[in-house]
Amino acid sequence: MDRKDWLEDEEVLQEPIRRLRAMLAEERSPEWRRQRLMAEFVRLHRRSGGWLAWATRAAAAALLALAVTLVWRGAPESAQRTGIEVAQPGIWNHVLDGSMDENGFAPIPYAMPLAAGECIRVMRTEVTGAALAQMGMSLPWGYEDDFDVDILFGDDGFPRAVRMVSNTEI
Amino acid sequence: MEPSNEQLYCRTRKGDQGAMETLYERCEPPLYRYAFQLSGSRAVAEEVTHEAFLQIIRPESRFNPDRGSLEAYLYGTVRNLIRAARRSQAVEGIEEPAAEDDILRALIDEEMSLALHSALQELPSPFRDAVFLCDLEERSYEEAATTLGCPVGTIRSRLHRARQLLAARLKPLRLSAVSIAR
Repeated sequence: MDRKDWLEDEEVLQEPIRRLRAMLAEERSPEWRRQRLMAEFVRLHRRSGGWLAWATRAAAAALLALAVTLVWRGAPESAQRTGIEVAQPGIWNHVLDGSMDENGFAPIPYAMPLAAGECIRVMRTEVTGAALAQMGMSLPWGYEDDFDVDILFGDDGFPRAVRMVSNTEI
Repeated sequence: MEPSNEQLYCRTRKGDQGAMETLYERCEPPLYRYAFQLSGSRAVAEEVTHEAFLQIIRPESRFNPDRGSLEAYLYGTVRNLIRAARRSQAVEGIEEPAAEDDILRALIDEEMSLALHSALQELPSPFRDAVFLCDLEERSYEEAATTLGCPVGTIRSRLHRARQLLAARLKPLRLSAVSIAR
């Protein structure tokens, strides 16, 4: 392409390009588009909140966890009653000789003692005296009678102790 | 010294609304004109420009300043959105491009300018982008190269070739106009 052709091309294009440029120069999106975009921007950043909001949330979560831990440690007996976890290690060791613990549970003879921190489950049910006798409990009453009892199960699902509901002494 | 678009973008990611306003004021008008020139429709141009900005403010924004300029990303997004809109129009059986709906065409009353607009729409995308940025937006070759993410030499050659193609389309019209005048 020689210089003459190039100049001719430039001459042909010059005026139409200028006109098209002038016509496009004033074009832009309407103001409401800008406002809508900014509103969306504010909404997105209010929801995500930036690092400060995340830090606040993390601090709140940490405080909540700390409070739950403190409450949990301050009420081990209630925790045992709810059957979630045994907080005191070796709580059943002192009743292996057949005596009851402070909650009225009598250990089942020859059952494995609960380990420290072992999860337990307490189930209230009605059993016959014969069933209790089969578990190794010695009964002062007749074997044919029915009893309401709480049976404490260990983590492995085996019964570990029994408590009379109406009469805590078996 | 004014912050770059990429610096403004980084500030918007931290929730700086002022940076977002500046970025919008700086980038929206040329982006809208690009979309308008490409689609010929104000409604489409508004929609795709708005969507392009929405894409960069969303938490899942895929723009990475290490991979190119923000403008290149925005122009690419607009181009893809218009392409997608045309595809969906084609699927729905709508004529594409809809000449009767082309408002830009209607606004151009002068025959040569109308021919230029039509010829621009038919140019391959890289050539059209070079003409848009250098001739219609009057940006330097260096700025156009930064925006499109290619070397300055590439911009020069694309512009040269694009002008040849456009002139070839406009010359017959000019000749006929001259002969009618005589």
